[in-house]
Amino acid sequence: MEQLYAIEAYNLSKRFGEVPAVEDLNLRIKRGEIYGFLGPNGAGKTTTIRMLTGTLRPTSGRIKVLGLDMSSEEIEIKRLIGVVPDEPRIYENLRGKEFIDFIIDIYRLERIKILERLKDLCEAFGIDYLDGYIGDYSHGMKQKLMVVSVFLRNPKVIFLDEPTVGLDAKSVKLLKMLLKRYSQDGSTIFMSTHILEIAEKMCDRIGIINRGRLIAEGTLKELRALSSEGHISLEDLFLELTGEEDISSILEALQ
Amino acid sequence: MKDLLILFRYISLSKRRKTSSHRINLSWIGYIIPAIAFGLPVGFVIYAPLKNLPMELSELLFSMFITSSSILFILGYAPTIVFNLFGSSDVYLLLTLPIKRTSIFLFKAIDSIIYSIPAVGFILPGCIAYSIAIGKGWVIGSVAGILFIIFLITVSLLFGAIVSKVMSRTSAKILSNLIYLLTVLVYVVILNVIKPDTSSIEGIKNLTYSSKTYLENILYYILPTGWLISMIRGEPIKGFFLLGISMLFGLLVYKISDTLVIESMSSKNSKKVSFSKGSSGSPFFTKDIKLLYRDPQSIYMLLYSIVFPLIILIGNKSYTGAILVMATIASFYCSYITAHLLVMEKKVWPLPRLFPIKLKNLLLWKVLIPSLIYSLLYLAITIFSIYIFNLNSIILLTIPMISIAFLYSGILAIRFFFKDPTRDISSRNIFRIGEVITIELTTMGIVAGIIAPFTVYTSPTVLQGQYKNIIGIGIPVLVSLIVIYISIKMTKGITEKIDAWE
Repeated sequence: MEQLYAIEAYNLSKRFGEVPAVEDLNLRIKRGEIYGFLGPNGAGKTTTIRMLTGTLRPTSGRIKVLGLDMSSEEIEIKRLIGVVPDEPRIYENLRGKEFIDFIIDIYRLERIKILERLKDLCEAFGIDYLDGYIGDYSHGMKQKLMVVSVFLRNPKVIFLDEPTVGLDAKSVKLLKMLLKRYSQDGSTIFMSTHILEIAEKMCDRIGIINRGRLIAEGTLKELRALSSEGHISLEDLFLELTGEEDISSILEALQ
Repeated sequence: MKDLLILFRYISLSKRRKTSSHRINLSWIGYIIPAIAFGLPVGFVIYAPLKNLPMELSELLFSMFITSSSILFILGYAPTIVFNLFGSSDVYLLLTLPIKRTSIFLFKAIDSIIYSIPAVGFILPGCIAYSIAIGKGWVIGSVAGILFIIFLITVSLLFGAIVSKVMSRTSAKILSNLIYLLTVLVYVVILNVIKPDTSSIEGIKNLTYSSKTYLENILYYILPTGWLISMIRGEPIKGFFLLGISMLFGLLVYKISDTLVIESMSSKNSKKVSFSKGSSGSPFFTKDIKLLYRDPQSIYMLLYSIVFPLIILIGNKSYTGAILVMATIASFYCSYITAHLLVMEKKVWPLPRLFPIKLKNLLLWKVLIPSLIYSLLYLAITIFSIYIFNLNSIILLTIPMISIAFLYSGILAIRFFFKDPTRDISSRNIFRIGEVITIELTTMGIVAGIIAPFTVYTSPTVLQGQYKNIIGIGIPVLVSLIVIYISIKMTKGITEKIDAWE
């Protein structure tokens, strides 16, 4: 029987020495859902994504992805998921095409089929620089390469940490459309972003993390119900819930 | 010009912050001291032969000295400009400032000159020594020397600007590093192959005579070194030649550097990209090999370990010395290449953690690849030695044993690296001094413990009977078994640390 939830986290905590980064986090994200993960800088978003993708060991708690337990089936999970990290760090002395070759081999993908798909994705994102060294790419060029290297595998769960940083307007639009289509096809999207407009328009549910704790979660309608001041826009809601809404006084002081 | 002065004030402030709290900027002393330290002894040493040799030979000797110093200067300085331009993290900040790209280029170029100061230190005292030796006094020698150094700087700047213009950032970085390291290698090879006798006037005479025709035809009339000599000998017009060409090169540098693309590759590529037809079998092996041969320092370490033993093998006809030196250098460099491959993963972290492969397997290649390459090189040297010297082929038995030493060296590198995975990876010295000493001493000991007894075994005169077998074969086998045992123990110890690498 197919699992209802694509991503599950139970009592997840991570401490760096004495400093708690994430505390007692519980998440259950359904298959095919687009989940927006919001929070101020240093709230624990990247730490959470790194734990959910198996690049950081939690101090305590349990993670399941597509019904598989991270502690015992990490490699199988990694084969099924795709991750676009917050910073596209890729081997600088490889050429773009060599990195794609490497991805095809490491994930044991069907080469001919994948290369056809790659062609379409490159055309869509305007990638015509795969012959060059990655070290010569700009941040946006690397980010596009990273996005394409994930999407060409058609992963069942996609984690994106600030995916729009460095991308041009056309690529952002394309990325949003692709994420919608993947979600309609049954893939689960877990995305952190600072652009609240994207979260507002795209996400089925939104989780807000602050100081390592999940402080609110639900659909936009459910989040609006949490507002004591009757905020409607996600931006105002976010600032209210994270306790950072008093920016008008700062603006006044600056004038 | 004003831009440049502001930039230098900025860099001197940032450097001062790191080094001292003195208010007076003394960073220029750091440029001058190496020049004096290298220059003064050279000036004194060369003065005697320049004065005592017949005039024609003195001129040829000086020409040879200036030419080799100039080559050393240009090959050292030009690649460093490129490397400093593309490798500095502050270039992106500089590009956002309202200053010309020429100013950024010149700023980085002048900031790089420290690395070539020793060569400048050869040239100026050399010119003064020659000028005094031929009775023209120190003033004309100084003026000519300074003019010639300006000329060399403009040549290097032009070379640096052209390379920066035509190559992409990554290619330029790889090339500049490679030229720099190959220069060192060529220097070592020349010193060991030619072995010039410069300890006596007679030796210098022989060296100069043997190069006479070559120098007369090429160096004296065509190259600017000839103009320098003519200028010192009393032809000021040649000085104007040098000045004129320097100005022309300076103008070209100005024009080229103002159109440099420093930040990233901007050219669109319309040609069809070709991908591999089939699977590479082991993706990490293929990727690591590619990264390795594009890393100039690794190339240098591989070449050095084969070129140096070949010099000993061919020059000294000593197969024992050759394989001993090869195995010692290689086992030491094995650690370094393993560490380099680890650093490459660390620089893209956490990307390697996302791949569906166990970290242990990923790291296995970092040990296996250098060990495999060095084992093949060792095999080649050994077979070559057997073929050339008609050696006892029992020496082939050292191949698996030395391979074990290479593996041990790689595992040791991993062990040290994981003692502190957050260590500074920005500099070339990945290991700490204590770790370097441990790697050097243990690998040297293991190699000596394997090869020395074998040479005893193959020597017909040293030992006879069963002692010969016990020492010649028994000790290397025992050493290898101990190394295997230690390596397995080390591997077990570092497994947990590898899994916890995040």
